[in-house]
Amino acid sequence: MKRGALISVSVVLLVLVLGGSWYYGNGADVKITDIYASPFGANDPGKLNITLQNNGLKPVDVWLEIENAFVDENGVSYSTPRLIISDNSTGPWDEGSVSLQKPIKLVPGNNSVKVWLGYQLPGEYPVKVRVVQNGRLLDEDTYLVNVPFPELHLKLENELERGNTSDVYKVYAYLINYGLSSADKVSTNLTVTNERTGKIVFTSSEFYSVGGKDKSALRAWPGYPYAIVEIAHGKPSGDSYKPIPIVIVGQNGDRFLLNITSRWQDQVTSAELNIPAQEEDR
Amino acid sequence: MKHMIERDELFSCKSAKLLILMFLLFGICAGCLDKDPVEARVNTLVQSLGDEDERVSSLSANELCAIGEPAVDPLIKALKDDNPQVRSLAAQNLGIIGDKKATNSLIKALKDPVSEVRMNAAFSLGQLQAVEAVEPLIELLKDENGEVIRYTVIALGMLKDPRATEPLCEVLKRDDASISYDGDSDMRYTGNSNIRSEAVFALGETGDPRAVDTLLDLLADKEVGRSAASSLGRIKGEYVFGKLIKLLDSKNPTTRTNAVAVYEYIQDPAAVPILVRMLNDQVPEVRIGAAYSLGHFNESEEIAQTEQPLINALGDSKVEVQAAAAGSLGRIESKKAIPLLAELIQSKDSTLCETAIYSLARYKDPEAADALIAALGNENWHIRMKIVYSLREVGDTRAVDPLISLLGDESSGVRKGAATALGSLGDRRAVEPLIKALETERESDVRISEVQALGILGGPEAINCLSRVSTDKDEYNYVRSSAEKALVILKGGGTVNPSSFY
Repeated sequence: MKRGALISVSVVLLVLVLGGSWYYGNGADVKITDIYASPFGANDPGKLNITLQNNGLKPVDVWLEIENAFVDENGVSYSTPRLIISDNSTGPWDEGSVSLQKPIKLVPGNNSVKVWLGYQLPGEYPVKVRVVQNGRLLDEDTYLVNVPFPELHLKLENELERGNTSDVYKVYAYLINYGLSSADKVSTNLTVTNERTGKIVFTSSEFYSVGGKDKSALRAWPGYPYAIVEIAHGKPSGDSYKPIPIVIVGQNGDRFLLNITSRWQDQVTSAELNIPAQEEDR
Repeated sequence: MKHMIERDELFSCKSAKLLILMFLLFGICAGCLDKDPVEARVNTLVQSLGDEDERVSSLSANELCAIGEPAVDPLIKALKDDNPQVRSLAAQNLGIIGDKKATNSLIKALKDPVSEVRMNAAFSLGQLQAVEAVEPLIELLKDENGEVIRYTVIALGMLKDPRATEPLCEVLKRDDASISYDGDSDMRYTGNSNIRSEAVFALGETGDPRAVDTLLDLLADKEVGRSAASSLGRIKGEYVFGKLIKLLDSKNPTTRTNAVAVYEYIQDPAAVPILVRMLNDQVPEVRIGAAYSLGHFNESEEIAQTEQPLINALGDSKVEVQAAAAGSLGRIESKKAIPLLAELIQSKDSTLCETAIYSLARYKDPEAADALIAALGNENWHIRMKIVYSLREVGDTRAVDPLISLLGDESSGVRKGAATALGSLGDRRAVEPLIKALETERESDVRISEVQALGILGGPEAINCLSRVSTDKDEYNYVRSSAEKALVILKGGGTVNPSSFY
């Protein structure tokens, strides 16, 4: 009995020692030494640069698991089937993209890998990086990605074409974004007031989009102005100015105030333009 | 001896046996735990090929293709899976991965009871360029399923093996050979396809003279006659010449039309007089084909025979014949035709007008450039734009001043074309006008072209302007980034070209 108990204890100890050495002694010595992402905007691809240090003497195969690499407009985070890219890759679907179905081979020393990121809305996203080998966690780290908000501005300009019977003002409007993130579905309202009578003569409401560090011309048709204001000296020209949908026709003495306001989430921006400007009166 | 006894005693001990058993079990467990993770994932993905959700099975197939070589053996094994969907997708993916190791297994899969598996196996063997599959594929042409036959025909076409010539000719006679199927995105065609059309194409791919008679007969066919002409063009050879030339006199207008089309691909000098005569054929399609084919004869002796008849064809009652003749005159660079082509630019028919423009652009000749420049006042902005792009092709710097004037054109398309052309022509006289145009230009597309042209032309004034644009917060993003790209190259002493911006 005593002998049997001794043997059982020995077996259990042996299993524990071998199991422990297998679990802890066989794992690669790999650490995450650096993570950073250059600034990028919502709806743009970003890159998370990860430096992995292989402290062993031989190359090792590891797997990367990334959480919060892609998050949609509803805050849903997507899995990462195909994210690792080579240094010279320029797009998520380029040849440089590597499937996460394959392990990454880390040579001894520092190894640089890049992972695509993408977020549909601005905000802060904690991206968790886990380095795994054969189901065993080697190291993990979290990097807070800050996706900045768009910075919206409006600009109104006009060009005057003087004619014998009327002055025609071509109005150009631009939604300008100084921020990195794009802004979709920017609600934009136009109000035109005849300041002589104090009456609102035209209103319209449209949605526009603008990319990060970009501008969008507000207009219905490429190559055409946003609006036309015709000040007739006598009988109006009768020109429909198609395909321009915003056409205001007035008489000498009328002065129109164009007010345009854009809203996106909490941001509100506006611009105004007087037609004719005071110095243009004749 | 004493040691031996002791060892025997040890091995006879129950506890020692238990210990050894534990070692073995541990070894097996450790072995399982340390299983190759790629292999484990491949096996999971192979199983997912049979998923009822098409998105899952399709994504699994894509991932297996991305994994490549390590997935080949498991996919070969999957060709024997109980689930036909797994077998079918395995057969398909083995062709995409392209490892010839799969050839024998795919040949066996040609006898699979499920038609889709046979179909994909056949196609994959074609993709693998597996010549050893030619005979089994020929055997598969007797399959009861029309789609299997169509895919087999395509595969035989890919293999380009003359052994398939006679069986392919036979398959054309099948009752179901004309049934059309929707195009498949994985295939060459996106339009309709049937066994006949694929067989005609495949016969051309074999390059086998034994296919010539069948293909010549098919020139009378309204459905596949044009395709047969193309296949004959790929076979070429003296054998085609003698028989084809006789068909030019056929009473069947479809035969004549398609026979003429073969001369787009092969140039038999003996056919020139007949083709010239066919410019007067009563059927317009024959005249169009003759005019078009005559433009492909480019030896000086042949051109001497074709030039005047083609010029005469510019007066044909059908605009399509005139356009074909105009195109051919440009192709043979007929000097005599330049004033006539210039006149055609004023035509109200847009096809004829555009053909005349493209033909003049082919000349790379001052007289042709003059004709194009003179036509820049055309009231149709679309035509002005075509001329602008043609002038860019011609590369004559006399176009610089007229193009500068067009930077103020009412059409943004013309302005954009003019800016692009000015960049291509490389004349620095355009720098100042381009800078001035940028001050007032509102269209982003045009601004991009103006900035790119300035980058290509270079020089201190251009660099100053590009610097301003590159730092303008109110500028369009792509315009700004184009300026930045050009500046980096110019400041580094390099030369900017159109590809620098992509």
